[in-house]
Amino acid sequence: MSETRQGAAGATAHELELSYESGVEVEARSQWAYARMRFMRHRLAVVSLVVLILIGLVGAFAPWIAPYGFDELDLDNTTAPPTLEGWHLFGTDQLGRDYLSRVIFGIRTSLWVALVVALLSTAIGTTIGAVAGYFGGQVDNLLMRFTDLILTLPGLAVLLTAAVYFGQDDSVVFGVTIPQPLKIGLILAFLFWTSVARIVRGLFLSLREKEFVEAAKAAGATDTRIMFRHMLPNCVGPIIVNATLVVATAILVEAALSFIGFGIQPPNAALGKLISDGQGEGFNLWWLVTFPGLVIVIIALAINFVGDGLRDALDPTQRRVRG
Amino acid sequence: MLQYVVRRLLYSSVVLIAASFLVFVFVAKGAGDPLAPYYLAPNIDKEGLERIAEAKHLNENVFVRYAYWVRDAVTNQFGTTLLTNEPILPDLWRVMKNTLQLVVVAELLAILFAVAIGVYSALRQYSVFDYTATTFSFLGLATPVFWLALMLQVAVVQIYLHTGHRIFPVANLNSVDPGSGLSFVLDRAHHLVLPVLVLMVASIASYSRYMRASMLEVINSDYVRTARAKGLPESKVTMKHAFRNALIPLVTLVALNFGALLGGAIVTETVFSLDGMGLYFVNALNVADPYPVMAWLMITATMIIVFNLIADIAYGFLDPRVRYE
Amino acid sequence: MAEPVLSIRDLTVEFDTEDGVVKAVTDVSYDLYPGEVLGIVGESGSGKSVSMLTVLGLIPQPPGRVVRGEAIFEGEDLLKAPAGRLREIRGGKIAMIFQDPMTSLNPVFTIGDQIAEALLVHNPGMEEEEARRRTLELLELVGVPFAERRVDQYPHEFSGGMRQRAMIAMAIANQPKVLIADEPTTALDVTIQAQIVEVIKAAQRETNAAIVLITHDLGLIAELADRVVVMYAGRVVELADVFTIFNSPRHPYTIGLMSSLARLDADQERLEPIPGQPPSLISLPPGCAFHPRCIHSQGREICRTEVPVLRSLPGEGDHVSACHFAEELVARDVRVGATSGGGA
Repeated sequence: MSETRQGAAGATAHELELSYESGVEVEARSQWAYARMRFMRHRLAVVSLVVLILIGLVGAFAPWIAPYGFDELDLDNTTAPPTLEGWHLFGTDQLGRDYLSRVIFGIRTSLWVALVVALLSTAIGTTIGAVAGYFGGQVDNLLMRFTDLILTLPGLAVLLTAAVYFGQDDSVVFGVTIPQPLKIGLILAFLFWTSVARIVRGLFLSLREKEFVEAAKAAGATDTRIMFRHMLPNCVGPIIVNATLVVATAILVEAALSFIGFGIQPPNAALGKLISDGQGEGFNLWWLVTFPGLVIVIIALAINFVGDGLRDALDPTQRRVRG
Repeated sequence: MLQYVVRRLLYSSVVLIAASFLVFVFVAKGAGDPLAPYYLAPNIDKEGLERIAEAKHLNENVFVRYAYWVRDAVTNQFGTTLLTNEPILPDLWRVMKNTLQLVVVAELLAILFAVAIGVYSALRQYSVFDYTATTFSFLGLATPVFWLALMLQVAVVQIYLHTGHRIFPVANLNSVDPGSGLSFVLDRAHHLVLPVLVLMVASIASYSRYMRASMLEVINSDYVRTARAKGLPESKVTMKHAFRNALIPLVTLVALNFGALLGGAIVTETVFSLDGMGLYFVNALNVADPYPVMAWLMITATMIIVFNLIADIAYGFLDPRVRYE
Repeated sequence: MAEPVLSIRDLTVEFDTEDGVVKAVTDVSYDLYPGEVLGIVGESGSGKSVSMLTVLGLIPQPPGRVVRGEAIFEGEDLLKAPAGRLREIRGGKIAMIFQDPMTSLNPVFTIGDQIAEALLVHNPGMEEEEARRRTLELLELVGVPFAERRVDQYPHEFSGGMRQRAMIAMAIANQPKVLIADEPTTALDVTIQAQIVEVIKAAQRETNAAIVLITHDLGLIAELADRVVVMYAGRVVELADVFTIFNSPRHPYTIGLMSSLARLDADQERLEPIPGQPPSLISLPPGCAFHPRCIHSQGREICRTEVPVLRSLPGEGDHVSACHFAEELVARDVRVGATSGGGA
C-alpha cells in the first residue's frame, strides 16, 4: 500500500542512479525528524491521524461527551430517525435509547480492546521473532513451525470457539478481576502475533550478521542485552507499522465477533453488538445499522491510512516500488 | 515431488491428530458439562438427559471421552449430535456443498476482477483509474463484511418498501418452493447474488492491491527491460514476461484464502442465513454441542492443509527456482 | 572517416521527480562509427547510460522527458520514430547488454526460450526448430559449454558469467549494427570479467557491430575502446581517441580520473582522488558544473558564470574538450602509459 504516496519519478530517478545521496546537502537531522517529515508529506495520513485522535478522545471521555447514558431509556422518543432535535444525530431505537451515545460508548470499548490486542500481540510476536531470529537453528525452526501452525488455523472459527468457551464473562484470577472485553482482547492477541513475529525474525536474521552486533558480542554483552538494547531499536519502524495495522484488523474482527454474538457481551458497549441489536429491530430502522457501521469504517480506514503514512516514514524497505 | 507431497501429508496428519486432542480437551473442558443448562430447565426429562450423558460417556474423564470421539470419528463418520443424536457427516456434506457453490463462484469472479484491476492499475500507475481503484480497495478493506451485507439488505428492503419490487432475496439459499431443474438453479443463483457480491468485495480489495504491488515490482525489473530491449511488442512484454512473474505470489495468497473460506464464509452465511459450513458452525457453537464443532474443525483444518499444499505445488509449477526437497 | 552509424545531437533528457527536475543529460552529442568501440566513461549518475536508453526508447516516460535533440540511425531520427519502428530496431539493428546478468534474465523462462524469442520476434516466419538451432550456435559462439543441455536450463541454474554470456548471445542474435554494453562486467568477479571481455571481442568479430561501451572502469576502456567520451554531470566534457584520453587529457575532470588510477609504469607516491562530491543533478552549480572540484578554476570568474562549450582544440585533430582553459592544460600532460584494469 505504500506506493500510493511515492512519486513515480522518485523511484525511477533512483533506478537510473540520477541522484546522489552524497551530493545532497546533509543537515544533521535525526532519523525521527526525517520520519516525521516524510509522514507529514502524506496528507491523507495526517488528516487520518487527526480524525483518529478526535475519535479516541471522544471514546476516552465518553461519559462526559455522550449526550445520554448508554442504557438511558426515553420511552417518549422511540424509533426516532436521525434528527438534530435532542441531539439524536444517529436516531433512537425501540426503547428510545440514543444511538449516538451508544456508539460513543461503543467506540470506547472497541478502541480500548483493539489497543490491548495491538500491544500484547506486538509484545508476544516481537519476543518470539527476536528469539527465533537471534538464536537461529533449531530454536528458529521450532518457533517458526509453531508460527506456521497458528497461521494455518481457521482464524475466525478458533476465535469464536475460544470466545464461546472462555470469553463470555468476567473472570477473577488471583483476586484480580479481568473484565470480559479484556478477555476478548487477550484471545485476539494470541492469534495476532504471527505477522510481527515473522517480520522481527527476518530483521534479526540479517541484523545478526552486522558488525555492531559482532562488536557487542566481542565486548561481552549478554544475549538479552544484545537482543533488546542493540538489535531491537533497529526494528522499531516495521514493528510500529505492523502494530498500527493490527489495531485496524482487531477492530474489524472484534466487531464481527460481537456481531455474531460471541464477542463483547452486555452490559459492555461494543460497535459490532450495536449493529446486531439494530438488525434485530428490523430494516425499517436503517439508522441503527448504518451509523455504528459507518463509524467502524471510518476508524479502520483512518488507521490504515496512518499505517500507510507510517510505513512511508519509518520503513522504507517495505516500499514495493523500487526506490 | 511425490515424495515431498507424501512427507508433507504425513507431517500434517501428525499435526492434525495432535491438534484434534488439544481442541477436544479445550472444547470438552471449557464447556464443562454441555448438558448443564438443560438440567436447569423446567419440565425437562431428567432421565432422558442422563441417558444422553451415559450414551456420550460424558461422565468419563477427558482422555476416555477423546478415545470414544476418535472411535466415532473414524468408524462412525464423526458420530452423532449430542441432544438429537443425528448423524453429523451427512449434514456436513450438505452444508459443504452449499458453501462450495458460494465460495467458488465468489472467488473465481473476484480473481478475474482483481487481476484485471491490479494489472491495469500497475500499468497505468497514478492514473485516475489507479487512484479510484486504490480508494475503493482501501474502503473495501476497512468495511466489516457483516456490515456491508446488512447495508445491501437494508438497501434491498428500502427499495421494496418504496417500489414494491423485491430485486434480490435477502436470506436463505432457495425460495420455499424452488421448483426443480433449471428453475431451481435460477432460484439458487438469484439467492446467491448478494452473498457472492459481499464475499467478492473483500477478496477483490485485497487481491487487487496484492496484484498491483506485485505487478509494479515486476514491470520495474531488469528482465522486463531486457524483454523490451529485445524488441518484443508491449503486449508480450507485459502479458508474457511481467504477468507470469507477477502472478506467482497471488496464487499462494488465493490458495490459502480459498482453503480457509471452505470452512464457510462464517459472517456472510450468518447474515444471509445460508445453510453452509459457517452457519452450521455458529449454530453448533450456539447449542454448545462439542461433537459437530469438533467435526467441523477437523474438516476445515484438513481443507486448509490440503490447500496449503496446493499453494506450494502451484508455486513450484509457476516458479522454476523452487525445488522440493 | 566513414559515415557515422549512429549520430546523437544535443540530446537533453530530464526526469520529473518529487524533489525537482533531474537534468539527466544536457546537450550531449557524439557519433558512433561502423566497427568501432566507443567508450563512455563517467561516475555513476553522470548520465552515461541515459543517452543510450533514451535512443532505444527504454527510459520510462513519464517521468522521463526528451527535451530536445536527435539520434540519427541510418538516416532516421530514432527520437521521433513511432513506437512500432523503434521496436523493430530494438534487439534487431541495435541491441543492448545490461549490467546485472543476475536480474536481467526472466527467472521463469529457459535460457533457450529467451534467446530464441529475440530471433523469432525479428524474423517473422522463422520456424521454432531453426530458432533453436541458431540459439545453440549462439550459445557455442559465446562459449557456453554443453550448449545442447544448457539451452533448456533456467537462469538460476547458470552462474553469473554464464548468464552474461547468454545475455550477449541474445544481443547478437540478430547481427546488430550497434551493440550497447552497459557496464557489462561490473557485476561480475574479476576473473570472469576478463572472460567476458574476450566474449565481447569475439562477438564484435562475428557481427562487425559498432559497440558503445558504457563503464566507469577505465581498465575496460583501455582494453576495448577506440575512442572515449567522458561525461560529467550529464554533459560530455571531453572526447578523443583512447590514446589521447589516457596520454594527454585536456579536461581537469579527465585528468583527475587519470591521476586517481593506479599505474604500473610510473613511480607514484599516492593515488590522487578527485576532491569533493559530484553535484546533485537537481541543482547543478552555475557555470561549469565541475568548478567546485576543479583545481584549475580556483577564483576564476568565468568558470562560475559561463557553461563551457565543447570545442575542438587547435592542432589536436578530433580532440574536443569543454574547459575554458583547455589550452593551459597542455603543460600538465600526464605520463604516457597503459593502465592495468579488469580486462588484463
